[in-house]
Amino acid sequence: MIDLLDVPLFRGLEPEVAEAVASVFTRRRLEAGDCLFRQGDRGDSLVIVLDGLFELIQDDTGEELHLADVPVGRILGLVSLVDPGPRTATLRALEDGEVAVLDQNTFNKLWDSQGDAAARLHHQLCQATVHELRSAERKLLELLNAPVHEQLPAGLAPELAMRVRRAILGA
Amino acid sequence: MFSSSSDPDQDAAELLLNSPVFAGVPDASRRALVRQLNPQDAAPGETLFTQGEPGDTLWMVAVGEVVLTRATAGGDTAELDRAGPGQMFGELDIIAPGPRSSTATALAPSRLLVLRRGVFRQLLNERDPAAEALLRALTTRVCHRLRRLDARIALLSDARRGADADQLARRLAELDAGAPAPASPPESL
Repeated sequence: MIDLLDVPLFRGLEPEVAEAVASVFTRRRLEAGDCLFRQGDRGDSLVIVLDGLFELIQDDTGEELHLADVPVGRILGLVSLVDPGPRTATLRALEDGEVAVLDQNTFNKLWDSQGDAAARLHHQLCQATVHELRSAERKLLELLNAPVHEQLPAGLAPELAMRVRRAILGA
Repeated sequence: MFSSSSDPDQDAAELLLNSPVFAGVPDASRRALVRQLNPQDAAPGETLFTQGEPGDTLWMVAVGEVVLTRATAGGDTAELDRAGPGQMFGELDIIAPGPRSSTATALAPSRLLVLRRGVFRQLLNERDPAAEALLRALTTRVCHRLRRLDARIALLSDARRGADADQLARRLAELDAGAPAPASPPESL
């Protein structure tokens, strides 16, 4: 179990600003097996794991695919907070746990009531998202160590293969 | 009579001053931000910065178009982003400096406006409204890029797992749906 104020996101904030920001998060307890959100749900909130162990899974293909364990301190949904959209995975508790949640509406209200705190948090969130983007770029480039066309399943229709290749390369 | 071709700096400034990013921002604050920008011209094919070199500046396109690419070890060139008039690039480096993750090349005769990180941070510390509006736009843009990148990684991961044509076609459709065209408002300056 950690305190929200110990999360790196809060460490760059002055104590009184951090307190103000922490106070607008909602705490939620989950039991093992509970899902905080499901793949495809509209997401508009940031989630920080305070206690327990969670996992991200994808199940849109019928079979369940474990993507990652989500330990205490991990932040999820940075993008959803700023740019709401469908969740790309389901977050499920592997054991009893607790999360802190900040939704977009609350974040927007923070701008009105505690402008300085909101501005600082926004800057921190933006930096955290940049780090996430940089690591996603590294991951894509690692996957591209081999030419894309060699990584596509055999027997794909040429037209589909070309569209997939172009989408992956962003061309 | 020739109407005198307008001053490119003036045009660029107008483009920024009238951008939806700064809606609601006091005029004085907008103008103060524009005065902090350094103009730079680029010819087609000219490289503005190169993958791997350190950088901490944000670039805005006043005129022309710029493409952001990265060479992959697999021999493909991955296009990471493209920016036209009113759009920006280099947003990662002004927010959290690091080695440039891509090479920026002008595709057309271009005029660019450059904002340095130190200036931006100073304005943010002062809670300057135009700088805050810009940060919000940058955040939105970073989020769009991350969402789109994650979708591309998911597509490639599926392909590597041997997903069938239906699954790949569905991922492609998701990518198309979640990927606004470069000119769409959320990414525009």
